[in-house]
Amino acid sequence: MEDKHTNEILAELISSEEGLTQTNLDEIRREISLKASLYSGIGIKILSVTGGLLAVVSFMAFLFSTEILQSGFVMIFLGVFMITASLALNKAVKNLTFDTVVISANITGYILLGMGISKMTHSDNLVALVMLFVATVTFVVSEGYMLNFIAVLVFNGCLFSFITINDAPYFMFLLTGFLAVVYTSLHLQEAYWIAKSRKFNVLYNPVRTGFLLSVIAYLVALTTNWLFDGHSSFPMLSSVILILSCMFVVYKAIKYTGIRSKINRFMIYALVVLPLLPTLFYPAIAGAVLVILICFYTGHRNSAVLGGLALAYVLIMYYYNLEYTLLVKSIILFVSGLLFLLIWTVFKKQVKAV
Amino acid sequence: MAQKIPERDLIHIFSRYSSMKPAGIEAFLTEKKVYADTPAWIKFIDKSLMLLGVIFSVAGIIFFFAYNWQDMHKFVKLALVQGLLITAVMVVVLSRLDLLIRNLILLGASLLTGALFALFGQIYQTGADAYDFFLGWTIFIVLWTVVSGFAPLWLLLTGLINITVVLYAEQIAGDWSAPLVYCILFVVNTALYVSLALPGKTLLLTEVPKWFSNTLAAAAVTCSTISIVSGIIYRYDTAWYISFILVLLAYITALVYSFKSRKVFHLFIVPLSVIIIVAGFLVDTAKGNDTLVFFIVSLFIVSSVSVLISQILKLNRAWNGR
Repeated sequence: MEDKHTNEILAELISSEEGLTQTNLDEIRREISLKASLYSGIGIKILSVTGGLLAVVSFMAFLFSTEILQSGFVMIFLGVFMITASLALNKAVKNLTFDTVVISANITGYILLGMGISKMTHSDNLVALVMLFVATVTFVVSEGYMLNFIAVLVFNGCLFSFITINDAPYFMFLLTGFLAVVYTSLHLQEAYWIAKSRKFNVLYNPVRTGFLLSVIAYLVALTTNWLFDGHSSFPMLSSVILILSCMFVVYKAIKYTGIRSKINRFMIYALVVLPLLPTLFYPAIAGAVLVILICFYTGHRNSAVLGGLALAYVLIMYYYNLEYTLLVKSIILFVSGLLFLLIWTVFKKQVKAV
Repeated sequence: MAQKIPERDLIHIFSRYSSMKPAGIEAFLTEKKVYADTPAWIKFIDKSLMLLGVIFSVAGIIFFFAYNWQDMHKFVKLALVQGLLITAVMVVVLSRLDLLIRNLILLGASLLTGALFALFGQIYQTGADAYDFFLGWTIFIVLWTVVSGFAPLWLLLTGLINITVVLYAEQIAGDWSAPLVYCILFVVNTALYVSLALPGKTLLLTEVPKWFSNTLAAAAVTCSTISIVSGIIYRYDTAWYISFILVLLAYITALVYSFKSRKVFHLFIVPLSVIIIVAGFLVDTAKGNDTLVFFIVSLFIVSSVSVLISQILKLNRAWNGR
């Protein structure tokens, strides 16, 4: 059975909640014991994903060596069949044993469907649109962790591909801002989402993880030079959205920690906003800071570390792309470093005084 | 052994089957300190400001020297890096800073040792990718690594040993086959794994973090897999047979150890490696009949991984009562 700590918390929750039936209680106990076993462990996930990807590679190699891929229609048919089969199998068998089959069928399905439509219509936009639709259908019909996780990546990947297909790089900034706002709301309104319905509750974790990876991928994409051609207002707008989101997270955190002094509140806001102001034309930095702040606030420490790595990467790219001499760069870096250390000592004194 | 379930997972599961209101859930997450509270924020701001301050100022200094680099005399360049190195080591030995911080400075000093070798190689044109450069770097940080018992430093050392072996094989040995090179790497990494990371072997390390032991084991198994598969694809040479016997013995030992100690980790990586090796063998034997073999291989991978997962779950249930 579960450990003592878990049992205590569970007893506490049960006593605080009225109207729980015995069936509900049994279900809760069953899921908790599944959670405690290897079922949701990272080891099984890595194994099934590695197996799934290897199987996709060899199955695609098989399809390429046959005549099947000559026909767009056959590819579409096979793709739809694979995706449907993966959804059906995942629904029918509530057992991680078949995860590898489900993952490989699902990914192969997306690839075949995309290739088939591309071959028949030569329209990349249509491919992205159909993929978007399939991902949406997955959210509606499936409760599987991996399927929904893949669907989030496909969904956000399709939005990105609209930008590259139609050569509209400036939209990238708006889209990143939009995704970051959605991601922020996922974190800050966790309680709302998981209480909304069983469906939203089950989808919460894969969607959050999928969004984390998508937002970080978008931020990394924002550091590439091809985006910055003439449209200086778009990066600014994106930065403003991201900085406002950061401030909103800080607002929530301040409310929660109960800091009353107006000066302290003002100083905390200034601490977040002022260092970000010089990066207004480079939104990736504000985005990475946002990821760190929300993940730390809501207790997703591993995600916060990922955000930290993203911040390190975008900062390096920022200084690398900055068109100043090394001397100016060194002065900017050194002065910022001294400023941070100065704020640090002031902060330490302030904390001691309280 | 029963595993502790994070509070967040508990409330997610509980709210799935109850009509708990968002306010109640939020109160729970706050009360159980899943969400960061004031002390956590203070610690976070404290550490972040210090880290940002140090990284930015050090980067500023490095950029300043980079700006003047071309015009500096070679002795000044060498003296700069050596000065930094000596200062770092002095701080580690003489200061009373937190052990973790001193270990991190020592890690920095170990990286500086590499920078010094690279600088030497650049000034005297000995090449920056020569194997003896990495060999020198490895030898000069061995003592620090052993003394500190710090896992990240051990990982750096492991990486350097691997790079040295690969470069030696490329630059000096010349005719070593891929199975031989990867077999050597497999032996090296396995030896490090067995002596450093297995439970109860904390002689050389102050503590063995999970990521460290997992990385070492994964490195060893990756090398053995590449050694055997490359031998299958490029026809079997003598080294392949030696490698095969060594890998076979190591895998059997790992599995026996798993069953004795009732730990499942080796049961993930060893069979996965075997599955990839068998897949490689299947692809190779059916040369000329690609269509059929790729189909069989994809079926084989999917079914064997599925069977593997179901068996691991079954064993885990038997061992841990779930």
